[in-house]
Amino acid sequence: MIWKNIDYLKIINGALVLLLVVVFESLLSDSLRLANVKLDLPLLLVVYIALVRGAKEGLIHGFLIGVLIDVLTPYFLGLNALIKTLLGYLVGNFRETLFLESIYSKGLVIFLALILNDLIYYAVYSGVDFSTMLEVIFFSSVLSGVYTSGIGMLAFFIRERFKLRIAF
Amino acid sequence: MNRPWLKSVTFRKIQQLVFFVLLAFLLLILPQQQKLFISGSILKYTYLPFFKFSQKIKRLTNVYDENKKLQKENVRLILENLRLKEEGLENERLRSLLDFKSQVDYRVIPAEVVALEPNRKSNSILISVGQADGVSKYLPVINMQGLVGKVIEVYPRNSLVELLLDPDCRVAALVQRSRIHGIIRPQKGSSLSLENVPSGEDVTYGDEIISSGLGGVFPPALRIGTVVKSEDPKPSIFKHVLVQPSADFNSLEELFVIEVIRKE
Repeated sequence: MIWKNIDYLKIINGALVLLLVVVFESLLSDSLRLANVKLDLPLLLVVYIALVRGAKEGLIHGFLIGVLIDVLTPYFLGLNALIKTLLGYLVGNFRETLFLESIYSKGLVIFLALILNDLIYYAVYSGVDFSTMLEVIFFSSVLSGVYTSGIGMLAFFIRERFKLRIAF
Repeated sequence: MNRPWLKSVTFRKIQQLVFFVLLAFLLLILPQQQKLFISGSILKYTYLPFFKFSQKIKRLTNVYDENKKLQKENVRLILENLRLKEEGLENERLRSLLDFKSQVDYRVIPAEVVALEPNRKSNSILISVGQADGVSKYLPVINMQGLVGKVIEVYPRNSLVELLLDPDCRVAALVQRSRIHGIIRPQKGSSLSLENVPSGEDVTYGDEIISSGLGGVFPPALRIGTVVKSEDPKPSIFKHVLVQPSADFNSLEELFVIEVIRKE
């Protein structure tokens, strides 16, 4: 029977992650801004899942979370899905090959993933207008990257300190 | 060359990657109409309930803030009321000391505008109360904004009210702040003028004009309007004071005929 092979726990995990993204984007994103610096929780979740569970999970969650973000700006529907799918896959592959035990190196991966995500997104968004891209990267993405990777490192620290395996 | 990260790249993973990348790319190249349809459908079942919830929370927060503001206003009004009551009692004591005989109270008769008087170019109106309701000639008529006019004809169930805008209407008035007396007369359009105010008197823009009670028809302290222009034309010995009426004569609906009851 096909449904005997289905991992229901993974489906529930995935649904919870998507619910978290929806709740965050609709209710919490503004209140969790720190001095107007945005926390990119959707991207953090993609990178976190890719680092914890590997490339396959990373790309699937990247796609689904990307689509959820894209529906808020329908003109570029698919763009976030594309970028986050690739990021989930890339980070998942790195996790399996590179030495990523240190929390700081995970933080660095989150930071670089966010910069890469914004670089590609705003390149398409602005029609490769370098001044717009640089402005966004320097005035928004870098700070957002620091904030998001800080929260990410905290999440990894809690996970490792308390041996949490819930949801991920 | 040794590339350890390539070792983990399997054919199955590449297949999955290609599948999801193609799916995302397909979404990206869809016509705008279909993108909107897909986004709308997903939004409806994902974000919309949370957006609605968020709006409700915001509305509740607004109600809470408004409530706080009203509570403050309420306390301020209670205190003001207490102060006015005290001053009223003090006034009563002083009046009794000075042996002042009369104090005023009002009987209020609610009325509605029934019709405009066609012969008098809308400077008079017919109201829904008359002799049967206790209305008599020359009683003042007000609305929530201020003085409207006076009753000039009384019928069994209706009355004719002469508006402040009628060329024949005059009201003894004073500037509330500086207590300068004058006579209110209608001007062209729907404004009024305060006349017989000597040049150099203290009347400025924004001053409230109220009835003075002199003349016997209108009781004191009924709001008439606000000064919108005050100037001293050189050859004249009187000021030119233009007053914007408090009552909006283009939308008169609910009115009150008031009768002054003098207490002994």
